[in-house]
Amino acid sequence: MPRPRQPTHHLSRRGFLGTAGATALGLTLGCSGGDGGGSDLTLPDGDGRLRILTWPDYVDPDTVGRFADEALLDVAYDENWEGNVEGLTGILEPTLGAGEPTGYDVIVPTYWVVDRMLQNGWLQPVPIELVPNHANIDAALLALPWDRGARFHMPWQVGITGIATDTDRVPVPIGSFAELVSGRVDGPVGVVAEMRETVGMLMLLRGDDPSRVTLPGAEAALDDLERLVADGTVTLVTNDFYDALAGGELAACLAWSGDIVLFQAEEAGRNITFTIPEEGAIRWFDSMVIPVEATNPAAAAAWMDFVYEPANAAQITAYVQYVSPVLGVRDALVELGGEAAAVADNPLVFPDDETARRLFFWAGLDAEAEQALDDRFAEIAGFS
Amino acid sequence: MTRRLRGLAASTPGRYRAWSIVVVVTLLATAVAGYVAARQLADATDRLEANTGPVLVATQDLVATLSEADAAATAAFLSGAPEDREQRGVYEDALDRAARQLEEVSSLIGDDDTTHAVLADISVQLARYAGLVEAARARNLDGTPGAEQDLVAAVELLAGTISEDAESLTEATDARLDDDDADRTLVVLIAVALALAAAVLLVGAHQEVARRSRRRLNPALLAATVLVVAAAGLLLRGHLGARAAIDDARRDGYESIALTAEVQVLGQRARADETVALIVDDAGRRAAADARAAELADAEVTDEDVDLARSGRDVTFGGLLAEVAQRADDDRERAAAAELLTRWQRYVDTVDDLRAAGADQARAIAVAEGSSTFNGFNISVESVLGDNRAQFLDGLADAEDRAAGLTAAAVLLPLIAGAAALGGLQLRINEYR
Repeated sequence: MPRPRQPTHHLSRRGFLGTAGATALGLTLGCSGGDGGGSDLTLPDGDGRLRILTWPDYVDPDTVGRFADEALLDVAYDENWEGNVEGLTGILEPTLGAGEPTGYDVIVPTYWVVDRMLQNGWLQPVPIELVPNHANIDAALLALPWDRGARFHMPWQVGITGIATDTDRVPVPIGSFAELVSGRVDGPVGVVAEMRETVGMLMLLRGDDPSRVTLPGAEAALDDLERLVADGTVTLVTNDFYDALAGGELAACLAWSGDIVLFQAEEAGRNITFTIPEEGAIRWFDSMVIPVEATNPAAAAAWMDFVYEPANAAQITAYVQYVSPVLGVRDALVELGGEAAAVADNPLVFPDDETARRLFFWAGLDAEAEQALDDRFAEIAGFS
Repeated sequence: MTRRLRGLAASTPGRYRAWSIVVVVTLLATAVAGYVAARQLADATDRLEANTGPVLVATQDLVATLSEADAAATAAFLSGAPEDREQRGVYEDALDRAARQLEEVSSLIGDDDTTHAVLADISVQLARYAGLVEAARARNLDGTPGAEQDLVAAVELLAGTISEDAESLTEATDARLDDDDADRTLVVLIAVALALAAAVLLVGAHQEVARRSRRRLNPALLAATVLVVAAAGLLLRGHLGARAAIDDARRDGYESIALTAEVQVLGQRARADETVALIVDDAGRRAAADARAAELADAEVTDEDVDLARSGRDVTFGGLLAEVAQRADDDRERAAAAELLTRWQRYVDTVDDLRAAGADQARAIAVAEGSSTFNGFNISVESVLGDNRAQFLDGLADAEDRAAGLTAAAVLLPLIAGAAALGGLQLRINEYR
């Protein structure tokens, strides 16, 4: 049986790069008024202050401070969005669900939470009149059926869920998801604790298209997962794959592209490879939204416009190494030169056309069906 | 009748009775005319809000959806094997959406046989079109000959028969809008004139009573006068308000929808022509693509143009995109128009790149950057369309609100006034018993 862990999207990276992450947070808050920590900030008190809630260690150390200086805003950058389910049930439902403000002007959940928030009427439109750089959103992210034209969100970063292999233990990198879950891998195998990504991969394995997901298709994939967990083929369902790979708990697993790219730069990650599986891979993204009752939507718009300036977006990409949703970032990285220019050639940050054709967004079902799938996934993974 | 009235007028109570008859008959006529005017207005605004408006929107959506399907089908074809899944998905979604939109229009138009026949023909032709696209796709993926001819036949079917059917559908729905929006001022003016005539008669009756009874004030007659003047005012205000709301909806909403939908269709046909030109190396198609593109913008859209559009000033180029920018009447619409211009120029730049490239690279550019930049443009158009649609339907809902309750007021107020006048005069008559 797998040793279950609660989903902690991105937390693995923060844990591994604990020192770097803490430094980044300290610098950020220093520039933004020196609150000294991300979790004990007071509620917004009107104009001149911008409160952002996002994932840990998801921006370079300089960008927030530069924005604060340029916009003359006091920016409270809170990195306590540590999981979508936790954020949804622990932060959004108790506040927005009760008609109360969240206390934030910008929140950065994963896209399916954004969809849920939109369905619940918890979002206000992005004031595009204040965001000229809205025109820089990559067209692939404009065509989502739940918000065509991205009127209520602006994508932050795009990730790919593929296969990470520890080549110290499995000398030939695993090239397909079929191989990963074949039971023939010499060592423990894991999958991510994000239902849409793991189930999406299982759907691809069955020849189904997760970008046209159906409830029976997703349920069949969950049946497969249940069998794989029960027979011990999958031994770990976790987003903490970073530590699990570093600690030898996993030989191969589903993992996020940006995390692995950074992991590879560390001593413990030298032998980790990342592969887009033959069947294809799941693409996901986190997105900036302005919740209803936000105190300072104009400041939120200013932040969105700032990070959608290609030069600023390139700074972030060079640090987080995820796929940028901002057009023009590749050229801007080349202009930055040095290590940043090398990122422009990284196929995981800029997938080529052939690879891009094998990347799938989970299309989504209605909230009730998705909740049922989430519940069953949590049950199989041992989270509930 | 005249003799009887003259007979009645011979005595004071008789004169009061004569006034009663004349006033009540006029007020009844006012109530009837008010009912007809208010009912016509309410029916027209109801139809506009619940039926004609949605039909117009669905028809414009259908036209745009068909063009979207065509542009995506040709782009997916161009990608070869393996085909571009995203474009194939866009094609399939658009075809599904077109089928739903046909059903929607069909369910909304009632028993309009001519329009039903047009819809039926579109359905049949659309099935033929889909068959040709599938045949082209299968041959393209297998590498068997004839794929290109099938695709070109499909594109021509859509650009010919289906587009003509769609145009006649648009004309029919435009005619419905004109019919619902026909000027009903004359009926309203008759009702208002009758109400004012009744008010004048009531004033006359009041003076007569005051003169003969030496009582300066007859509260009932006064109340009746106020009520009938209020009825006239309400009717006039409701009519003018509803008209203004409908005019606003047409000007700011529907005409903008029509313009933006035209931009979308032209853009999609330009792209389909460009793609076919690439497939069959046809200079004529390329020229057609250029001509359509020039209708949208007859010169390069510069950064300065984008800034001008954003700030609500005239852009330096001509064409339908310039008109879209001009029509934007608030900051948000101007921002959406500016984004539309940016994304159109990105697509045009990509076309320039692919024309400058060799055959294979041109196909690669068309499939990757071409699809991406065009989709960006297309979705920006949809955003503008979405705003226009909301404005149109909000305007019609506003017109309906203004007309709501008018019927009751137009009928009840004159009837109450009639009862009050009758009561007021009867009190004076009773004094002679």
